[in-house]
Amino acid sequence: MEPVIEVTELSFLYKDGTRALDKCSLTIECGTKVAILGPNGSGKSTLLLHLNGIHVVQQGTVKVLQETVSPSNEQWLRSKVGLVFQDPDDQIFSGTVWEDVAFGPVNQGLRGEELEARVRQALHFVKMEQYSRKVPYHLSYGQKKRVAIAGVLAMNPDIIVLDEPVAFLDPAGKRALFELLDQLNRQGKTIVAATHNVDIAARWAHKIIILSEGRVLAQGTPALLTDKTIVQEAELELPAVTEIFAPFPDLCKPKTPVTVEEAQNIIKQLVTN
Amino acid sequence: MQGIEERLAAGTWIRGVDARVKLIAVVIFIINATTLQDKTLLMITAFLLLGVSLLAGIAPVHLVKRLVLVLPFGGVMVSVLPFVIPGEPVWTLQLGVLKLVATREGWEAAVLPCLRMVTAFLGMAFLTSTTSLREIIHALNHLKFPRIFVLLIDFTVRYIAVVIDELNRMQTAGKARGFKPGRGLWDRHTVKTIGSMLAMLFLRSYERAERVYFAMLSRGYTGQYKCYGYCHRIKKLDFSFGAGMITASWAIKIIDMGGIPWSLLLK
Repeated sequence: MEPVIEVTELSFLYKDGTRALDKCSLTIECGTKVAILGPNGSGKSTLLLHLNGIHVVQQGTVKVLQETVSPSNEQWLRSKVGLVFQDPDDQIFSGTVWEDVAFGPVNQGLRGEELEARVRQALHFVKMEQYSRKVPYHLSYGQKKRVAIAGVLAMNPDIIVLDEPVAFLDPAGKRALFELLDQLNRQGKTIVAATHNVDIAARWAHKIIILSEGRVLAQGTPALLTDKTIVQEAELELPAVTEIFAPFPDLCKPKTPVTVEEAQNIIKQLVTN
Repeated sequence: MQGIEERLAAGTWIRGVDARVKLIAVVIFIINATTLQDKTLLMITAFLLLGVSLLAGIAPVHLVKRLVLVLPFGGVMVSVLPFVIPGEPVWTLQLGVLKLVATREGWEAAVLPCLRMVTAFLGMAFLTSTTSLREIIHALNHLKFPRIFVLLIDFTVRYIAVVIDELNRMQTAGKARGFKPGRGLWDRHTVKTIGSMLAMLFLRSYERAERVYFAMLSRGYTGQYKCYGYCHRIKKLDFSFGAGMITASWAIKIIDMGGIPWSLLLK
């Protein structure tokens, strides 16, 4: 699969001297679901802000769709990479839901029928059509999150990047969100989500990238999360399923389970035998 | 985020009038009205505005609420000026040993600016009750108002909501840990708490405002005010409203400047 995002030796220093990224290198393939895992302060958000051109590359390179990111192509970049912020309140500021979703497409130069159609489609996709004339701050947190995603979808990006997508969401909201993300992924969009929730990452992602202190500690399949040394070094935890099966190495053959489905299969086998 | 919810007080027909027309008409009306010298004409102008406001369907209660804001300024002027400007005494107030004399000259000096203020306020109340802030900003943009001013107003509107929101969160957090203000200005703990809350409010608003700005950038914001493309051409209604307001305003102004003597009109 061809890579859509290639980050090479990216370093970033904040004005106050904090080193948020330190020679960070990673690759994200087209059409995949990728989870960037790491504890608070590991540089996840800083990395995401680079993918959308908000932070200017200080050292190293960022390539998106084979183009090297620089201030000269940031408008193009923002139409290709949609960034959904952790707190929808940071993202939603317009008087009505409709206006907020239209903000991105208007900046892209869309008007009239085309604009209407884009906004309608995006709101329809997140099932918020009937709220289009509502004031956003009357909505529930989950609904706001959906509006924030619609605001990004309306720009029709190839890659959707989400910062802590499940923070503060209730179980139903989480489920709805992941269904939405899977649906987008089936349409061919690449989805990148930064989180510190190992269970969600293990269950949802095709690929895991673990960040620690601004560096990539490891990248690979969700099976990576069964490696106790990596998980400990990254100040994360084992997925709950893995933790349950860890004391029983005999059951963990051929591989340690990371998802509920894998665990259920092992138990089924045990019961039938 | 708590926004500035705009529930316009006015009826429907006036909302259909183009914001640019309303803005220009009201500004010309206010400028002309506040430079009038004749008190009677000024009163007529004020009543005219009141009439238009009522016709536009603005509830009288809403107008009265707005006018209450003028009271501290106008009230002070009317209650102080007549007593401090020397002249022909018209009324005496005996307060124990203190004798206050109101003079005709003082009264005249107080009434004119007070009437001007009320008229200007009625004009602004009319504009803000019939046009949303977003429409006003949109209109300013199309009237080629300097971009920096349009952006400043746009951002002020946007970020007031950010600041109010932060303040509410902090107040809730304070309450949750048992903070009860209102024990007077001499209460050291209250003053200290409110002081540090204010300082934190600015810091937190600054940080949040930066995140809001990042979120705007990430959706392709370039620092340009973008029109959503819902501007309409000037219709008959816009034209008649604008022409009516501006003509009335100039007519009164010309009479005031002595262009047409009163006596001619009364004949």
